Amino acid sequence: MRKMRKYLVITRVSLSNAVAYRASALSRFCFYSLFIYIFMSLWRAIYREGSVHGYSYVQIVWYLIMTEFIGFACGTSIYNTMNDEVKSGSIAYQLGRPTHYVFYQFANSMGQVLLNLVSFGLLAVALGYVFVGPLTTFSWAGLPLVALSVVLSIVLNFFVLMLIGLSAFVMEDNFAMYLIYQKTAFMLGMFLPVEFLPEGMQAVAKSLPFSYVYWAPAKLFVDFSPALCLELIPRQAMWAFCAVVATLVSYRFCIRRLQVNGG
Amino acid sequence: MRRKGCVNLKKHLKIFACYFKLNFASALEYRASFFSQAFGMALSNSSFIFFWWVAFGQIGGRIADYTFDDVLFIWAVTSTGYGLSTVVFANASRITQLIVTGELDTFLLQPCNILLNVLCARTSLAAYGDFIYGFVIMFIFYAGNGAAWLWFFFGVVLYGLILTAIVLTAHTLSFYLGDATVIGGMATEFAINFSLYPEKIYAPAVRAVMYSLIPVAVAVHLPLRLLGGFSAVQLLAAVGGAGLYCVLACRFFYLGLKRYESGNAIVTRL
Amino acid sequence: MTAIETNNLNKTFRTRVKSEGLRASFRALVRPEWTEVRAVRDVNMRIEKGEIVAFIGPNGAGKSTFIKMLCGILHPTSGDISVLGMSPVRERRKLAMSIGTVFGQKSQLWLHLPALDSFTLLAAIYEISDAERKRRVDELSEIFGLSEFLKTPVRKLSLGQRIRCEVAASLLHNPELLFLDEPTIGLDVVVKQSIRELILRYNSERGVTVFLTSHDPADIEHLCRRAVVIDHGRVVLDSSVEELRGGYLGTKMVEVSFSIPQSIPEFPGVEIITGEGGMKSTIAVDTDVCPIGDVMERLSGLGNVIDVTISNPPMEDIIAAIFRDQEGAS
Repeated sequence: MRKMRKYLVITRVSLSNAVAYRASALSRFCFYSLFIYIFMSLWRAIYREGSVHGYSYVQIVWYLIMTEFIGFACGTSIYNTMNDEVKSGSIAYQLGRPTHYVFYQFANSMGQVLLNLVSFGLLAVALGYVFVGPLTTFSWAGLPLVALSVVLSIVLNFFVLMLIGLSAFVMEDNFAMYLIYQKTAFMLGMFLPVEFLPEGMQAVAKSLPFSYVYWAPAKLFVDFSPALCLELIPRQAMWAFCAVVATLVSYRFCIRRLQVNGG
Repeated sequence: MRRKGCVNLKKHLKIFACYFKLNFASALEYRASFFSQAFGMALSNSSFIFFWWVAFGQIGGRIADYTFDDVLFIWAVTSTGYGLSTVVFANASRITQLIVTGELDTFLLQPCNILLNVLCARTSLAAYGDFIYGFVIMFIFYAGNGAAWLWFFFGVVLYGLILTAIVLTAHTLSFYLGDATVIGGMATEFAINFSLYPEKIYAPAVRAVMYSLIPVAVAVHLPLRLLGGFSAVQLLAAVGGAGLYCVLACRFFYLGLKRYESGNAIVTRL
Repeated sequence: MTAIETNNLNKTFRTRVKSEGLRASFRALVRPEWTEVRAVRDVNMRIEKGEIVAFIGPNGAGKSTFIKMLCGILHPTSGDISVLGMSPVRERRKLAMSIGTVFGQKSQLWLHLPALDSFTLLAAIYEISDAERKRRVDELSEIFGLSEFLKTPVRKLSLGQRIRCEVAASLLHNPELLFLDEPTIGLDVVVKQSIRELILRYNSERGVTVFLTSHDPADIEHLCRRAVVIDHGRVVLDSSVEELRGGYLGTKMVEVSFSIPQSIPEFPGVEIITGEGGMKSTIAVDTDVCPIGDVMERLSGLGNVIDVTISNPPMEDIIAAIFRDQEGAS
């Protein structure tokens, strides 16, 4: 319990730190609204030509609001942080701290993420109402499970990014890897639901972790059913667990290298 | 006077070539990062093309009056035009920083045209990927279409200039507002997004902006229309409008420069 | 011949005043409050060609604003400037051809490339032909001893090597007037001395006028014949370094450690600042009254001396002393 409190304090400090950056927050609000507006316009044009199976126009706009919401709330700064710390060697100094480095970084980032979840959440709901009206298929009863799904996708995304950042230990330049992860996740869920992909690709996408960052929570959000929960949430949890374990193992490996070779 | 102008042009071309060489050499110092950034941009662009491919796969035919090939054309022009702007004039997006930190001093101390000197002094690594990307699309989908290539080049040059002028104007506001990073970022984002999608997806008011305040449509959607059917009036209007816009952007910059405080703009807290 | 002349030069900045707190931030957004800061006030200055002039003052005194107006970076609020017979506002480009600048933190060199590449770019900017450029680079690299590292990326150079390259870069186009803003900041004593010698040599051989700001009294003492002290935008003192040395720069600080507590006998020109009668004392010596050699002799006469350090008083103290005297006079 004492241990938990330590991380809670770190989160609180990073939260108050985050409040200080109002100007950059404002610009991110603008970008978020801009993206939603553009994609809404685009989907309206697409739906004018014909309907896309499985999703109504209102659903697809809310789907998009949800995926972009997760994308904006998570941010990607952990990748840069890790990269810089590994490359500059300052990760070595963190070893002396009485906290587990990986969880320290997680707690430290969660302050910002929590703030984003609330602020972008309000903006997201407002934009949805203004652009397409209420989401009729939304289920209040399902909300806790949707929230769980969002948390799982944040954890999954965070630890994958951290893992890629840590890869700076063995790779001179891991930016390409970061991009591949990011763009694949975009293509397999953020821009469009997996159901829109050609048949063969759908099966592949569902067996990879990428779609569980954006597609799973957004799909649950716009089209909630208990059966879907049973299908998606365990897989999300499984991938999130894998990401955490992989990060911890790589971290151990990196530390050992540091201790043997020096920083 | 005329001779002097000619010498001047030659000198600036030489400086420009010099900057280009130095920038490229600088980029190659970090070869790995140069290639991965260029690769990253190409990948990023491909993810959007993938989106279109899926969307047209679902719908078929046309979306907002554009066929898949039309979308590829505006993508090619935007990508290569954006690449052109940020390979050659990358510093436009750093003008706020130059103003706020007083780095602009270095350029003001040198005996050449300030604006050209500032704009050309930097290049963006990632932009080489964007620049090449448009050519790749053109080769794959429009290889044998001479007219398409003609309008592609026309659009690329126009887009490169207009985009630079837009970014320049937004960042020039830093002379007046202190820090226009957010406005600069927004203007760039608007400019790019207005040119990547069929223009008819946007509401009429937004389309009016695309032809006036942020006139990227002139460089992207208009060439596509000219490819469908030539119109001398539209062509002249596009060239004239773009030229005027660029001239005004330069004027605005020099007007702002008079207010430059060389990093001495301190906000006094009381 | 006059190199620099200013008449009643003024520069006023309008700065935004913002109070602490969120509400004040919003109010400032809607209705900003402005205050005027007079960075340079009624400065009249005349510098002849071939002079080396030091420009001294505390941070924020208006030094860099003044220099930036001379270079054409900032436009004066009122008053006239003539630099090498040109107006920096109207003839910026022409003037830029004949002035060279080294501005402390702002580098002219490309970090990731060898200095030689930066020289090539500067040659294009300053309209120097290829043959002329090669000749100048050879000449400068001989004077400044650059040949070993001219082809090494600048980021890999030591600070001293880098400053030598910076100064050389600012001289590439053979300027008649050189502005040096803190040229020796952060350098060790040996490198500082070599930079000073280079500047002196260039001044005496080429008759280049040098206008210099520095925080190091030794820079001013070794380089300049004239010093101008500025504070709150106003010139408070304009005198020869000779006079300044008599009054302020002639003082040396001597720090002496003894093996047993020791009191120092009084004698003219020596003032004990701290540690009287202790193991470690600091004394100020007015070298015009008592040469430093005499002081050393007397100190060693006392016996038990284990260490002696001689240094210049910091610039801040010298300026403070000047201000005290100025206030006393007015």
